[in-house]
Amino acid sequence: MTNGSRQERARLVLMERLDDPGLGDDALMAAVAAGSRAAFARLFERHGSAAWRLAFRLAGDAGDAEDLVQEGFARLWAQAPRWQAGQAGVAAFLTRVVTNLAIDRSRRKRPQPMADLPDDPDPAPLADAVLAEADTARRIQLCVAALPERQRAAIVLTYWEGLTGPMAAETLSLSPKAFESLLIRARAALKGVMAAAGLSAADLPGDLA
Amino acid sequence: MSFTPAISDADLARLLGAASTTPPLPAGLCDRIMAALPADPVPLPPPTALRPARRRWLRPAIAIAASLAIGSAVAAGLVDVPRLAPILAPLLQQLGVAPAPARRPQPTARTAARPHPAQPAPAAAPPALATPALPPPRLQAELPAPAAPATLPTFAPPAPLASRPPAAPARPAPTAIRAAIRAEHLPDLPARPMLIAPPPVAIPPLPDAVTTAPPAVTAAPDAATDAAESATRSGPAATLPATAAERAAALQALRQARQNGSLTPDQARQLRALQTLRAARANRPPPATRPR
Repeated sequence: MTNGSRQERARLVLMERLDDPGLGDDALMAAVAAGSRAAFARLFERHGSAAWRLAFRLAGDAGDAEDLVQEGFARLWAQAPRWQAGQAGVAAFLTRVVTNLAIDRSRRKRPQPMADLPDDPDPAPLADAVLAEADTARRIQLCVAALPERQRAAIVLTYWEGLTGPMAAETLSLSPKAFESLLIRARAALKGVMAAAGLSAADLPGDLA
Repeated sequence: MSFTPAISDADLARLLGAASTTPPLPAGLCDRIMAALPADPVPLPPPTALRPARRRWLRPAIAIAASLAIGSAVAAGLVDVPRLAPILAPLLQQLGVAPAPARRPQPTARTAARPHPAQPAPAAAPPALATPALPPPRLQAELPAPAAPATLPTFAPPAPLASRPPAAPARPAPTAIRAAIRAEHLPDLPARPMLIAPPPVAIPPLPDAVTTAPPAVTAAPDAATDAAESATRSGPAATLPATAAERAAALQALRQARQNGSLTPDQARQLRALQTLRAARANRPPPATRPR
């Protein structure tokens, strides 16, 4: 039996088992490496929501978050032939890719030059009005979005994604000590932004305050 | 002005927990992502053939060649050793290695055991040598001839080293040159070796500065000056004035005569003697030990 026919038989077996809910991510990645789009769809069903949530929290915008998720899954697709079972899972891979993509995208953002501004006034309400009308959650998200990209990523990974210090440090390619220092700076900065925005624990709903 | 935020860590955690809501996953996002994907994942490159086996013979061959080269170089250096020469010489000839530049064996205790072929006796002394050949001593002539002179070990004279330049011919000493010049131009003037290299002056013991009256500096005895004066007075120029004033007057008169061109040979010798005497007085050691 040649190598080609053996791989084809393995691919067929994987296709038959795709409906098995107990099929692991590594097996799905093997099927994706064989070109199975169904396996890739199964992976998206499992990890798409988490990736979207992380992307939205990091980017602060639905459009940017969608781009981040698309790019992250595209890299997962390209990584499938080189995927090694037993390594970090698909969730960790997507978390690292989406975080780094968000940081890179935030760094690439440049101030909009005056020549590119529209002539007509923006019909959207002013920022003060947005802040005044938005609920507390939105205001807090805006405060987080105002942080530098790495501090924002540290806050998001620690408080919203629930990663431990070493896991978040590995995601950001930092040492645990460096991440701890980064998180301390991020906390201090976020407190300052929130205080400047008039946020305090008194703004929380009754059951949370 | 320092600004202290009034939000504690616990308040921060509660605030962030209240803002953890996110919009739901956009519908159709999976389809859009799938549509943007390429047809197949980037396939792995086809497995390439393994590298051809390394040439396992290369390293041993290099090692053998290097050891042969080093060994032949060492052998070429050792071919001069008499004990190893019969072994190494044919070996080097087989290998085609030229031996090291021939070095004459030095006469050592080991080489003395093996007699060398008799060397012809060196030729007679060159005729340039002025010393005539001495007649053989009688005792040597009366000795019986050696029983087997051919078996006695004879050593070849060591060859001169190529790197050493030939010895320069012996040059006459400067004093000899000066003596020859003096003998040629001033045959009557006696030799004054003390003026050129005065002997070390014996320093007399220090006199007591209190009880001994300081001698006059001008009349101080000086070994070099005395020797020069005695040498000057012992020759034909012994008619030099005795006192310094007379000598100065005589020197002035002789100089004047030399300027006028009326200097006779005797006067020239006298002038020369006076000048020599004055130079000797000027070169005498300073009277450091004399109390002033």
